Amino acid sequence: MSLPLILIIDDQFGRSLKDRRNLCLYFGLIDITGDDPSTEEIKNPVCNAIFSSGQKIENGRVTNDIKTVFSSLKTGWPNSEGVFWSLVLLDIRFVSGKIGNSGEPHGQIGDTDFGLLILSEIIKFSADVPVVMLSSRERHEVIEECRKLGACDFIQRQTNEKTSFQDILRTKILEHGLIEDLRQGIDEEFRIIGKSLTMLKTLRSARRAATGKGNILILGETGTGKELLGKYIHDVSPKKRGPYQIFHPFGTAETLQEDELFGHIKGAFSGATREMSGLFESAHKGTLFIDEIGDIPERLQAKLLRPLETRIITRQGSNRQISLDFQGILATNKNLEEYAKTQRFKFDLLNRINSFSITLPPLKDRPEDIPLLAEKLVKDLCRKHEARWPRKILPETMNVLKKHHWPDNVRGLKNVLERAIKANKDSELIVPSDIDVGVEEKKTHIHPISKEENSPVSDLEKFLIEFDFPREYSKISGKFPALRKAIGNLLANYLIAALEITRKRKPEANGNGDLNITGAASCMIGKQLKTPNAADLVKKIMQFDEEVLNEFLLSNSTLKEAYGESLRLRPKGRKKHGN
Amino acid sequence: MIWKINPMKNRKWLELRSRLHHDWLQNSYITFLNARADHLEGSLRRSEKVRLDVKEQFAEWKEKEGEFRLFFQTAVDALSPAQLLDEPPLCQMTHENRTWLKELVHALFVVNSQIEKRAELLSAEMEKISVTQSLLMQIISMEDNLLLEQNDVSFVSFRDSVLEFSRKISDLPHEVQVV
Repeated sequence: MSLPLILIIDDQFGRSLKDRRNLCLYFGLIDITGDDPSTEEIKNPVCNAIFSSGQKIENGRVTNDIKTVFSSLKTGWPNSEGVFWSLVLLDIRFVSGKIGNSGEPHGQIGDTDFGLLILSEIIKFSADVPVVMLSSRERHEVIEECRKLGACDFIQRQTNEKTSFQDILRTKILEHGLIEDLRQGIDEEFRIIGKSLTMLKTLRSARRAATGKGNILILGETGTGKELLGKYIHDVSPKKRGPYQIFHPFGTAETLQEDELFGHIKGAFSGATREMSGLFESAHKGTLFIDEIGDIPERLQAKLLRPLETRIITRQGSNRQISLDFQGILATNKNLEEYAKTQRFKFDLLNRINSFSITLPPLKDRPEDIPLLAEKLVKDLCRKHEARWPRKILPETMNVLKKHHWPDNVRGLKNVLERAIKANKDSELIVPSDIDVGVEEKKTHIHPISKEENSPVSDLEKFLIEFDFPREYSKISGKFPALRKAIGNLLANYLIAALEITRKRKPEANGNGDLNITGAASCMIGKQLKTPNAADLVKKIMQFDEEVLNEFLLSNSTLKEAYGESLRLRPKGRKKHGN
Repeated sequence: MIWKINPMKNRKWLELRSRLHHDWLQNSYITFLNARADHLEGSLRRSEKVRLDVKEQFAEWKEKEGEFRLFFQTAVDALSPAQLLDEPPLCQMTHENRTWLKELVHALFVVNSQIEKRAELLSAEMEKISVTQSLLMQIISMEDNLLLEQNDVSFVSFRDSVLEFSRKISDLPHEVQVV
């Protein structure tokens, strides 16, 4: 497995090979800069490192030089093999000036904070470069300024801490670094393939989320590898030595889903002949992965609230509370916020699982990963189908694969390659004509909210989209009052629907629930509005036509209530200053 | 303590401090100790190359001792507010007034700041480190693990004492102290 690659920008360790060798021994770095002929062997190295002094030496003078920094930085952002710096370690003080008898520069004004100047330039170049400051200064002296300028963190070079620097550096790389899936000893089938910046950032989010506590929500289109990411989170978390349990709701009746998750005691229901624990208990001291959380029935959603918040469950038929310790990972390809707005998903549950969410990028957003993925998939598939010899993908074929939009993501890519291999078992090559992407569907995006395709609303939608005013506009001028009234009616009905859908209902309360002006207006225009703006929108919709407004205020209690509420909540006009 | 005629000014002293403490002690010597101390502990006979490297870098300490002495001896002057009377606007006072005022603020500073005491302690600590380092140098040269055990010294504890020495230097003020 390859080691992470870091760039160290430091005047002294860039220039002095003797000091650099010591730093490499101390930090566990393999120096691959290429300017030191006698590097020492490093046992259990942490990473590969390239050093840059950030300076140039001319006519007996050392000058701090941003250009030198950038010529080093750009060699790994990304490098010729598409590899990005996993981390950049940056010194703060760069000593420059005339070189004295000791062979070292004397120092001059501007040296003290040259590292901060480099930092701000790097962040201007790309805010994605993960920079950790490395200095002998005290953390509290510099951390605030460094963070403001965009550094991820700070390492103090001299400290009396007992933690070894190799461990400190390893931790910083895991926490802030852009590194591929470097898990050791896992089945290659479960390795997440990708070295695109998008994927590296997703893996970093996953490592940051993997605290071993709380809940993590994985969002992503179908086929992006949510289950693989769930396993990755488990493997990099403090719960990695515990069990990893997976729950798939599909294909199981609701009652059985509950039983699978919570277990039961003997006699809990007919057929419960013996006591049985559920997946929550099986995940104790480990991780529970709940797939397709957006498709879990509402009644079961309500039952998930408690265990996901308090880590306490009761088996079916029992009153005994069981306290557990597990990391919850929940995955979906649904837009849960939209689902919650339209009451298909419980707001309460969304709040409990949404504290840390990670979105897996679709394959079309990381085309640079397609060659790696394709090579790996072809290797796996050849093994699976017992192909006679390894299959090579022609560059032209790879271009075809890279250009496709892959609506079914990695799963779609795998299907296409599998068809190519099965169709021509004896070939050594996969050629462009083997690639049949025609049957991949273009539907699986993260907003699959329109299931009622044949409803009257769909008819209305179609009619409105297709309706075209006659080009002889003069003929419709007389129709304006009637049109205004009709549109006012439509808008009022649209508003009633949104108000009813977004009512806040408490499980234990009777009645229709409370009006949610903000939710309704946000739902209507498809983006989250602030309350005064939402109230203003509701007011404007209702005032679209005065006649309609009066009719609805008399006949519809929901609109009457909403109108009163919107007048109360709308933005207050600016006060005019008197002369 | 009496204010000297040509004392070391704060700026010069800070330059010396940066070069000696930050550039050499922290970046170079302590990095070397951190890199080697754990490896050396109990494994003197392992590598001739490592022993040579250690001897070479130990020798640097000897070269720096004189500069450290100067650094500690001049700390009081370099941090004294008396020097402010040589700079605008206070230098515009009459020579007579400046002379007695310098003596006064310097004396008050010395009493209040305890810098003199701290510098003396640091100086003594440096001498102690020098003695331990000479012993370790001897042990390395003779490849004598027995001598290491008999003298109850270790590379790791030596490294820790240098780290502590450096921490105390870091704690010294950087700016001229106002009484």
